[in-house]
Amino acid sequence: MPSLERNKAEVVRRTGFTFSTISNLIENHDVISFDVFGTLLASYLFSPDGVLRYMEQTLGVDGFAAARLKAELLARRRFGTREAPEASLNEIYEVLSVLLPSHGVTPGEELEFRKSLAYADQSIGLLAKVAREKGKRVIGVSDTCLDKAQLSNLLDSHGIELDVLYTSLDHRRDALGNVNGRIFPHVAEREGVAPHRILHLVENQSNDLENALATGLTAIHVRAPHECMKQDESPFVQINCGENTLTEEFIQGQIAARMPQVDPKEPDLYSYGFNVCGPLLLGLCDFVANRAKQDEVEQLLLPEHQGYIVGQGLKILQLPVPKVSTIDTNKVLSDSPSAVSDTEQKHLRRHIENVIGQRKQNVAVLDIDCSLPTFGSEARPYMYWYCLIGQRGSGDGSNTSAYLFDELSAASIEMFETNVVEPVYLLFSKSNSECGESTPSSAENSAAKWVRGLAAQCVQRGALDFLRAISPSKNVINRRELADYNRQCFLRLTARPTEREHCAFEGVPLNIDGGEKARRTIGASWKPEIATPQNSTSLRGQDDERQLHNYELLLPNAIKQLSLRDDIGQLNWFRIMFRHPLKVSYWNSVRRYLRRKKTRLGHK
Amino acid sequence: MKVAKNDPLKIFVPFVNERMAGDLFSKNPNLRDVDVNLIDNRGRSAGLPELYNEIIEKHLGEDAWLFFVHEDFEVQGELFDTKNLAIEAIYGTFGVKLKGHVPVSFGRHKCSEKDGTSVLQVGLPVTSPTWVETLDCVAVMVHTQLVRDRPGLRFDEVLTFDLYAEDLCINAQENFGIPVLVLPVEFQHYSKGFVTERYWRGVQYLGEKYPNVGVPGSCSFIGGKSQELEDHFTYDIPANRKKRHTREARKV
Repeated sequence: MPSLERNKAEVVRRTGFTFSTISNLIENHDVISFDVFGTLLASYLFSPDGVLRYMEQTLGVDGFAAARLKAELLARRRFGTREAPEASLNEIYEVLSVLLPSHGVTPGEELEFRKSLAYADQSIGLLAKVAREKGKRVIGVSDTCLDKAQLSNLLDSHGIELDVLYTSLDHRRDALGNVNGRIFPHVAEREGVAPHRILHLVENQSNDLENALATGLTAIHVRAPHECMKQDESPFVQINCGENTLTEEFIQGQIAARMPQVDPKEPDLYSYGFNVCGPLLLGLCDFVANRAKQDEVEQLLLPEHQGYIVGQGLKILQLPVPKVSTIDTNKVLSDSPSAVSDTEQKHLRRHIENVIGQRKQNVAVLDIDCSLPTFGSEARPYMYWYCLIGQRGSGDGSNTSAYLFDELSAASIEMFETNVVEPVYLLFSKSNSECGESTPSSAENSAAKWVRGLAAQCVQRGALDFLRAISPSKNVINRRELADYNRQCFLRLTARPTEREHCAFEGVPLNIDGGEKARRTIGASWKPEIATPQNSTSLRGQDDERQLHNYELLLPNAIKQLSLRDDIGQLNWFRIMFRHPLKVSYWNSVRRYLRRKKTRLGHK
Repeated sequence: MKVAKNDPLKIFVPFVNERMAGDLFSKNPNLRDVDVNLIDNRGRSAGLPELYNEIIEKHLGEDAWLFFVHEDFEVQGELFDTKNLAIEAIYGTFGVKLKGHVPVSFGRHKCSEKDGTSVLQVGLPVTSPTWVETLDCVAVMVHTQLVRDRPGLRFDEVLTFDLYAEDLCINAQENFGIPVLVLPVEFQHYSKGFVTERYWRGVQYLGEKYPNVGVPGSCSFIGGKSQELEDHFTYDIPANRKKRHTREARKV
């Protein structure tokens, strides 16, 4: 549950005004009006066709999303007018029945899908709450394809209460719409107040905002959560970098709904946990559950230190997994994994056999970093090893499968391992909450472990919060798309983290006992190329283009045309200027222009 | 959805090549039970939109399907059933729509030279009515009730031989919200149409007529926004290649 401070911070981010300013505005107006979608209600699938694509996928109706979009366009033309272009859901489905005769989907079903993918926006909901506390009327003004009854149903299902709801669709006959702004005087009249006594919070900047302002309403633009996330260049969020799959959009919708980066109480490591490790943990838990089912595993063994977070994840997600047991590997493995002796291996095996008991059954061991020794071939039919990254070779006689990079080459895995392994394994590190330590015990190493535990705790909290958020609607997620998304996220983080992302890990101690002091934090050992923020790059590019454009405006047309000659690159300038000495300045201008063009565009 | 149950289908074929029209329509066994009207256009040389509009006006009083086809269009299989077709739609046998930024054509058919040589398979096959953005002029079908209720929905007579079907589709969708669909039928088009100057003039005209529209046509994008679409995709049909080279040469 996001805190009050966090919600206030989000209001500031999304409106561009301080919370006290908005609060004062609410105080000074009689009616507080909300453009329902994008303010009080938001959707986890934020693209215009997101819900439709999900319906197509779930209902198995090929071509549904494109046809439904087209049907809406046509229905607006057929049933609407230029002044009131809205079309109802029933009208859209009437056209759809011609475009896609065999679709078999009803408007009611679409409404149910929209309901399941929408959520009540808590930060804007806070404004409604403040308005109520101040005794103001809270109303909704909407211009979608939903009529009053449908929209009320949608709002009720998310616990949003409004005093009254005005929809353009219900006033289509009188052409009272948001598009032409005629609905606002109508609302003022019905509410019995002057337009300037209404505070209108609106997501649609182009029509509603301008029309509301023109009518005399105090209108404030509220950025949609996903827009806000995109414009703010939030850390650990990868927007529009993948294949724009439903899974990707849904995960980003979850991140936009929580916006951990605006929470003043949470550090960036929490954002890392929520935005990056959350989807990873979701994918890993799903992978473990799925593999266990495929391998007919009857018992799943989780090593005590690494398996804690996965065990928690499986519990939250309520995935169908076999009996889960914990094995305390510390009791049998004293040294680092690379130096496991034969005796220790036997001990581990005996330990596992003790846990399994006498019954011969298929058992899977979760071995996140492939640090546990695998058993020989005689145990093979009954033992499976599930890892995060496919590190173990197939020829070592073990049934190993990895969630990420199972089929990639050793070189790619090595690249991943050397660059991003520490941030990833932070999720699976022992956290302080797990071992119940409140202060470091004594020595320097313990202190480092304790600080690392704090960082791990933060990351794990973020990841588990993500799972809690996504758990009710986890069915939207496609397994393959999620694995691709996770892979892309980590590859991006490996290749070019932003400065803020890199700084988040800078002070986190490495998971090593002793060694070089200089390499004791993740920041000191992981030195990737830092990405420049996209906005500043594009701003610089725009600036360069503007300068070039200004230069071109001053340039004579003859020089511009000359510079477009195909053979301009092969010209011998010295010779040309020698042959035409009176045109030296002319040729120099051409050369200067070409040089500028090359520098500016090259720079961009 | 209004459906015409038993309204008759009438085929109208303006021709200048009598032998071809006779072979492909009068003697076509697949059209034995269909009312085929051959219209001799040799003396008059009227533009097809003009002829089609005259036919529409003439049949406005009755309920029927009017199927306008070119003389070089041969139905090679069973003709589609009009029984359960929605009245409020425009139908054709070959059309195009965008998938992402790429135009995809629907209505698989054979395309050949006039003499039937150099046969090419064109378009994706359709098994049921499939919606598209625009239809090709080779075959267009409307119900009289649709045009009766919408006096503004007619062929544009400024376009004499090209792009009138595309214009009708844009007009229907933009101004009346009428969908456009391709019907499944096996056919051969005896014309590897080459793109003429008249076609590009038509494209320019439609660009001015629909400045806020950008839709894919059979040979190029159409409408005022076609330039924006061309930034993502360039038509590479043989008919266009020569034209494009000439344009590029002219630019240089």
